Amino acid sequence: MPSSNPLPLTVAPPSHNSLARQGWRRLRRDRIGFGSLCIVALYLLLAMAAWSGLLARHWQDEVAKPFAPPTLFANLGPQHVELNAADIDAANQRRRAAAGSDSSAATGLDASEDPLAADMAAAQQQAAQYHSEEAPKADTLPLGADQRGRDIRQKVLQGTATSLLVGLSGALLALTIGTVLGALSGYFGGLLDDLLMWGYSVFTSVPDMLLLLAFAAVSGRGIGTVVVVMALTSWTGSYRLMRAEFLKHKSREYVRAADAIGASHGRRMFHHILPNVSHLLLVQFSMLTVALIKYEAILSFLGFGVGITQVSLGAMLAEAPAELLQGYWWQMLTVTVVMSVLVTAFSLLTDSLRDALDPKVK
Amino acid sequence: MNKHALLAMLAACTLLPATAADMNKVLHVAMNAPETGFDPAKVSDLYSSAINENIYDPLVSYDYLARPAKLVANTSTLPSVSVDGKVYTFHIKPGIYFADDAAFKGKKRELTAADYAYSIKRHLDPTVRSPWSFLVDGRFVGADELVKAAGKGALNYDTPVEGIKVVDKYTLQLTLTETNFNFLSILAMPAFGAVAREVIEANRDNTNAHPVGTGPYLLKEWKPGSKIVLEANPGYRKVVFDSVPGNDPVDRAVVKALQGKTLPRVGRVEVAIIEEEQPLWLSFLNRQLDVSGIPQAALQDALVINPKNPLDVKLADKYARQGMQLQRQQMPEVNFHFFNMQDPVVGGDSKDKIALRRAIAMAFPVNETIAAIRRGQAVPMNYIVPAGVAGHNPAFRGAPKYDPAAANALLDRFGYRIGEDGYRIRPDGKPLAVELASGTTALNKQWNEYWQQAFDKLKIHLNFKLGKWNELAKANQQGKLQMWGMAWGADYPDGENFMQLLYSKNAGDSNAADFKNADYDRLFEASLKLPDGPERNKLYDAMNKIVVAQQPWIFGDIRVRSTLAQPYVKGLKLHPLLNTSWRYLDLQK
Repeated sequence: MPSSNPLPLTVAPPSHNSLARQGWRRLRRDRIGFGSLCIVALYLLLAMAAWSGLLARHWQDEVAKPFAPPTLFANLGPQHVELNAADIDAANQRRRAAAGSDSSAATGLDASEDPLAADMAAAQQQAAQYHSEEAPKADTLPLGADQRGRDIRQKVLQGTATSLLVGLSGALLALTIGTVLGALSGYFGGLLDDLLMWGYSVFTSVPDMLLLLAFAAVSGRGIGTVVVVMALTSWTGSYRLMRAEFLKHKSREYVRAADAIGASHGRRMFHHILPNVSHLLLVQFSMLTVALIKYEAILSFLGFGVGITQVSLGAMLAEAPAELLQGYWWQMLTVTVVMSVLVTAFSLLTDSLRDALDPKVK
Repeated sequence: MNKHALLAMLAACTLLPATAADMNKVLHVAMNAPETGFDPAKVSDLYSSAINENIYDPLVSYDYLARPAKLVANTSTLPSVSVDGKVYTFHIKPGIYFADDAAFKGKKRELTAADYAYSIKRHLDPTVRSPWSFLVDGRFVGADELVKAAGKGALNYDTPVEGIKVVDKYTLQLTLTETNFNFLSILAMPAFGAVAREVIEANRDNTNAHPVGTGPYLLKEWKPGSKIVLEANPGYRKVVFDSVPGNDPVDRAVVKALQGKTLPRVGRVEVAIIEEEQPLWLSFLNRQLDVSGIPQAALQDALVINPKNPLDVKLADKYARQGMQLQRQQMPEVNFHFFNMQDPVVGGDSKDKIALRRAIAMAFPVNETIAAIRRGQAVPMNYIVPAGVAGHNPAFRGAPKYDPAAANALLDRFGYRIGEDGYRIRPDGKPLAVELASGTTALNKQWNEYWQQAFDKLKIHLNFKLGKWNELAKANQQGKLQMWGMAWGADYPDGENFMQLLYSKNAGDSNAADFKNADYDRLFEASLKLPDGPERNKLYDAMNKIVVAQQPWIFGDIRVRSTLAQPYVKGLKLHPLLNTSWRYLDLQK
């Protein structure tokens, strides 16, 4: 029978990802949001290059003179004389000579009194293999150098990579903790919910910064610790959000339907409900990332952040006050610009994501 | 009639300005670390001592201007000393009163010999746990029995002790077990200022917060760790400035400002605690502070440093034009890093352990840190006793030559092989890692970068143990640290105060390295019996050689401090031993 009606089967089934797709479309239309996305993507690319060692692997090398100025502004730095070890050596020699105690009058440990005398003499002979050539130090660098003569361009790349790594993995960990606990709490309710809510109340009753410092003070140093410490203090927001969502969704029809066809609790929680609240998680994730990048900066500024073999944006900021006092502005300027752009772009992206992924907005 | 009026006027003129400090004058100063408290028998940090110095009176004190520092009478005349140097008799000046306090029940309380006896005995009291007990333990005849009788409980202060005898109300007789040539300088420390027993007993739970003394100032306000306010003690005895100037032009300026005037001059001293360098310096530049040390980061801004001779400096023009006053002083101090000598990795006296310590010392670039961190305002340390302190030997070279290449070769010779990961392992094949304790400020971080560099050059793993100073100090007392940096400033200008830092009986106390060496101990005990002179110097040289050979310390540097005062500050001269000069300062804005 001919029919003008298309067969129901030929109608494209509503896509599973329609919300995501709609969101993407909306985000593309939002010029600020899309621009922010590009900036964040660029940062991520640079960070990945630094993580993989393609960029800034040698940031710790002392390639320039201490506080070498930026090439374009070589005359805008303070005109201090930076002393070096040779100056001090020479001054000490002169002082001794002036005091009349030249090297012939000098006393000290005689070889006969030194238990290591023979070994010391032999070590002097064998030292040659450890002598290394000093590379010439640059007078200026594109973005200047810090006190140790390290290239600020490399340092800020490495620092951004560290801060992003800390921010992203900290946010992921915090989100995981918050989601799992929130899901359990909201889905099962009852005594489990009460217990978790008590735990939550305890955590939120302590001011964030205080809790952060307390954790940081008892644990050691390094990126891993910072990530764990920050995740442990910032999971509470996503916990409350997820708890409410699961509470709301668990009595919806589609969950009951899943129950009717015999889906287990775990499947209902993580296969059925979770995808329906995932847009909230994405927003939460980017918000947390921004917050944690800032937290890391504060921790490092207070001396509890990454160790000295690593560098982060916060650790660079911590060096700024003493440098500014001496008039060396370039590290401060670089890190401020890099960090503000990153944090602003991430925050704007979060806002746009929230708008784009809101199912109520058409 | 006229004559009488004139006389009355004259009397008024001489009485009014000369008797009291000007309560309208407020001196603003800052300290760069928090105080711990104001009980002289319980605190030993520089910052608390600086306050205590102004609240309490020791028996004797130092002349403000004389260099080298000269002891002068304070609440007592200079004592008469017996021929064998063991019996000291002090005559306390009558008519000195404690500041008013509720514990005195409204009566004036006069300072007597018994107060000093009580104050000295408190350092022996096991329940007080004085950090200065190493200065008094075993020093006084009969005191050991008293301490033994107390056990772990409180000392019985009423038991008469032969060595600490109150002869009459104003006479105190101290009898030493052995001759001690520094005894009078020890008694001049703020720790031996007089406290009143009633006050201590009335505030037994918190003596640190309730200081009552006979000194020029009293504690008016205390916000722990942030602000301390002192006010001139209205009942302070009449003390007239009478120090004799030397050749220094600073002396003449001080005398011109203070000659014949009563002390203190300034009615109120406000002490702020500012730990970071930048805010400290900015406060000074904004005239929120009257006197301040120049922080290291500001040195190049404030001073014109001659690169050929970094200790030759002058005040930068912009500050000189404002009339700011610069004063400089090489500190009677040593800065060093120590190894925990009881530690299984870095301690011990076998050759391979010595080699490890020696290698670390050889790899640390002292001169580079003097250039970059101290901005040239320090000299390398080469002897345990610093210059300006009796017993110093300027010709001695204790610090090993900076030579990381030879240090590596030395480690190779003792079996510290480089393992598969590029780092060295111990001779017995176990992994090697050294832990260095450190604070958390930006300045600490700068130092740590140099340490990291040194250990990287040696290919030894380095970890940092970060903490607040008092936490690390506690951990070190329990032997839990491996390495830590320390500064020791002279309590009195004698080498003994420094050589005792490695005496085994002071281990865990002032001997932070827990260094125990029988030869060193024997020489130290022998040196105690000698006055300052060539004979004792010979012993000190021998002890220094032991320390250089064993390397419990890495010799660091000795700072040259630069202090700036605003143009209107009068009467300032830095003193090597007095912590403050507040009572001598006058403000003429």
